[in-house]
Amino acid sequence: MDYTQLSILEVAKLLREGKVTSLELTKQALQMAKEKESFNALTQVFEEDALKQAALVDEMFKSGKELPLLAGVPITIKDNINLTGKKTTCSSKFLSTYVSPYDATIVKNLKSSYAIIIGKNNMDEFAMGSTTENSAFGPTLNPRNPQYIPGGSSGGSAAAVAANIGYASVGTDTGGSVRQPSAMCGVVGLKPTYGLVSRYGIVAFASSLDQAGPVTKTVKDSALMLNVLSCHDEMEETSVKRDKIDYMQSFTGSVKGIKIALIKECFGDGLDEEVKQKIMDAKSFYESQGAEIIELSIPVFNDILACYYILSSAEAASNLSRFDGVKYGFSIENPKNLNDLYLQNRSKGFGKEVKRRIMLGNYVLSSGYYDAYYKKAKKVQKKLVKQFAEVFKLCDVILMPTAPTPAFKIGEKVGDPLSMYLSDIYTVPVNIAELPAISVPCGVSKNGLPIGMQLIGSKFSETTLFNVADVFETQKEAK
Amino acid sequence: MISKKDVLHIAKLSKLEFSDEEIEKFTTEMSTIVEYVNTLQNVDTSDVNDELSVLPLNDLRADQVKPSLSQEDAIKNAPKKRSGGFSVPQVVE
Repeated sequence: MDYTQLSILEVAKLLREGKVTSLELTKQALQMAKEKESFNALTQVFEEDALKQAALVDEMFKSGKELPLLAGVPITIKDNINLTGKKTTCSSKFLSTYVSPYDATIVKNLKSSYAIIIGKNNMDEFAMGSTTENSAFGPTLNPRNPQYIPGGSSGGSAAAVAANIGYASVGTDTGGSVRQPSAMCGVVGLKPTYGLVSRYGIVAFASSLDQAGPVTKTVKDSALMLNVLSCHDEMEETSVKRDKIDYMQSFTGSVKGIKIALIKECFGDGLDEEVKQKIMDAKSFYESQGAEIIELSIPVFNDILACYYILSSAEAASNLSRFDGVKYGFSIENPKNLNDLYLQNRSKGFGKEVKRRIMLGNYVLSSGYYDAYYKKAKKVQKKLVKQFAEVFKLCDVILMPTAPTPAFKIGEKVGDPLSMYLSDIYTVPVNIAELPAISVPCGVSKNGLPIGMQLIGSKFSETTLFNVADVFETQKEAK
Repeated sequence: MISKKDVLHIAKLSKLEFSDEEIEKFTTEMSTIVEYVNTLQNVDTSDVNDELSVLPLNDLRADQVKPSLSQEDAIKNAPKKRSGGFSVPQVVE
């Protein structure tokens, strides 16, 4: 029997009923990784470790021990998350030989839930990109149609889950990098509230925006994963101290009386007609289920992409200044002097998009430009936060597209960075305002490519998001 | 709007070097991107204050000595090491 297409909750039940073992699930997931190798969703596979771990979990099940729901379930993690003894490449030549000496906090959480980590996912180098074409190990292909991009930067995570290579993945989302590829591959992607999931041990891109989140097949699995990932972490200064919530208690099966807002700025030029239609279908569905639909405005919404590229590049330039090839990473032989060592290591170790962001970041931070760009962007950020707050006085959840179009062809936007950046126009405001959001599949285009809708809530409203998303996922088809 | 001179200056600050051909390309690409992010200048921000911090500071943890990465692990990935430390080309002549 093939179990690879099931959800985490389904296999968790089978494991407890003794109908399947973790070893069987893990073998099948590893087999799938081999069969689907051409998608290039993984940078590394840990066959031996995974099988050993699965056998141990099976022993624990046999002994009658009560285990967390994720126990024995094979998953993957993005290759910018540190896992002791394994490489953390960030899909960069610079880190292609770097071996992690420690676990990220979220890896510790996964391990203490006895998840089986079978491999690491391909990504845009240092998470910079929207297509997973900026990987030193080659692009990841979209499992729904391998001529198309899977989205990015967590394209390997979304592709792996869509291709049934493991039951979930953990990606990172700085401007949409979990949600946008999830939409394009037809899976569920969550970006939690900033501070809910520890960033300790995740290679930083833009520290004030980075947040790890799960990619799953179902909304309930997403809640299950957030139960494992979220925690207060004293190793991380922005980790939020609050009582642990059981997100599996989010589900009421009803959206009656819930106020769902459409933001009028989201339906202008650049939005694909088919995507727009699917969002309107979702709106009608919610209306039919007793939700109240209101139209609201966030006037600054369409200016946020520019704000994002200033802030994220500025932080990236600062974060990536530590990559000098002295403490770890790519290093040339026989440098002329110390400066030559830095110059050559960085110039030869980083790919094109990473250099572009470092350059943009240092430009907006450089003397004479700081006020006009960085400081201005911080002010626009505050304006957005205010406008979101006004909107959330009147509604519980915002509904909008995750991406303006379905996936595009591999290579189509490689020579045009700005046009590629535009695919994140609906996702970046969520990071800029530190909000939670979830992307849920809401249909398929005429070309057979998945379309995702995004639900955005106020800070720490994940339970509401899960519930509203779950009602759509479980009841839309039945209708 | 962005000149070749700007790009060379930023490259120097970024500790990156480019071929002449790459410099030409970067100048064009960066001009397009900077032109785009410049649209932000049109946003009226007179209604928000100047303070930069958006996040309130969290509780700080107690300053206690705890075990952390060993020296051996910390230098394990170093391309060049010597006597338990990182090794770099001579800086002072």
